[in-house]
Amino acid sequence: MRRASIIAAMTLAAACGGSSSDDASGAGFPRDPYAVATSDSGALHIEVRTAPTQPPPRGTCTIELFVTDTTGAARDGLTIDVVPWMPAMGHGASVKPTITARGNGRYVLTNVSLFMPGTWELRTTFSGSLSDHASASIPIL
Amino acid sequence: MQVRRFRFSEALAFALVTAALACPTTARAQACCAGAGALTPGRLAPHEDALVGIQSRASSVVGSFDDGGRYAASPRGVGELDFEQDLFGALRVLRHGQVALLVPFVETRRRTPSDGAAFGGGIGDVNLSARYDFFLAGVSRTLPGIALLGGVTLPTGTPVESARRSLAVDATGVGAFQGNFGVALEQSFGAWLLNLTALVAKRAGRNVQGVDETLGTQLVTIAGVAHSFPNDAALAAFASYSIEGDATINGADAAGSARRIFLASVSGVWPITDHWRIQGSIFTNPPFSSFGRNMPATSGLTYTLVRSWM
Repeated sequence: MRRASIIAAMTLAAACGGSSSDDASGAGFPRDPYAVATSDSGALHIEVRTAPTQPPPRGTCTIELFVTDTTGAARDGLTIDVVPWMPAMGHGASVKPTITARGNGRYVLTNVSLFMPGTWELRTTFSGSLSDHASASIPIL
Repeated sequence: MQVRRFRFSEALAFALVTAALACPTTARAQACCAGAGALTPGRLAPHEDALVGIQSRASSVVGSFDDGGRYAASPRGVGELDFEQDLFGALRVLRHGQVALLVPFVETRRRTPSDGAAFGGGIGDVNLSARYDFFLAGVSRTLPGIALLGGVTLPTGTPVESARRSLAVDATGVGAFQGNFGVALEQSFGAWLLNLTALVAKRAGRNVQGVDETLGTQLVTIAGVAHSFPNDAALAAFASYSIEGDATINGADAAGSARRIFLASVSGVWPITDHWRIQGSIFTNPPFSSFGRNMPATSGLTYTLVRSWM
């Protein structure tokens, strides 16, 4: 497997108005993604949204991953494991997020503890109908 | 070459230099993110054979530097206070050699809007260090004092992934062995003492939660000046700049993970008796862009009590 390719982009529209929540996903997340990432193989596209605010606050938050394939179709049935990690600090979080599949390509991570300021990565492993990996960067103030 | 005798105040200035130096290298925003240390607050002055002491440190995280070096103050509603009490001792084992042991106790208080406030702590990463002075400052007008430093930090603290309390406030260590090596140059000019120290630190790799990570090599440069007074008190000002390369994750370079941080410190020492002294310092990472990268910005103070034997 080639080296993890990290393509995370901040979405300016999502970065402002930290508490905006138009409930587009039906789970209290904003319409616009906070970050996007492409998996190592290029087969998956992941949009990241955060709650209760976007950008996420320091502390415990909820994160939605919207997973689609190269055609833009939502990918359900994936087994997802997410490890929050601070690459500059050399550690992760003390709490493992709980992941719930909501359907239509949406996976919700609860109890995501981003307790320190700095850049966190959501190191995400996909398994099930395919095996892949992706990381999205989440800056925390 | 004749070795001159040190005035007591000059000897204290040496000790103060060490106390001040210890701040930049061991002061840390979070217990989980420490750099290795070869300096303790307990360096023996030339006339001392042994000492023990305790240093208390309190600091506040006031903001952070992102991976581009831009500073941002902490948002309203969040906060972090870090406390540390270091028990240390130093022993002369050779005429010019000394070893030291430092046992830290670390506490953290964090507050966020979603989690409220949490407080926790415990024993941190124990540090062993050694110093050998080939030449002492002031012995020669042309040759500065030269010393070699070495240290190892043991993973005796609780790493983040083993923390149990909310917001990982009971994390007290990095979870990996750390070692470093350094050179210190010193020269005295009357009541003034100048110091320049360079340290290289390496952290062992570790595998946690399926992530195999090794932090980059760290280089710390410290420059300072101390002035001793006729009443044997002394003042010192120091600055340190720490740079660290990218971390390695699962064998690949983690682009953008390199760290930088500048720290300024002012210290003072006051002799109570020939055997007891108190030391204090204030330190800060200037909260302005370009003074750091991928690091929190902190400000704090230390208070140290030392008992020495001659």
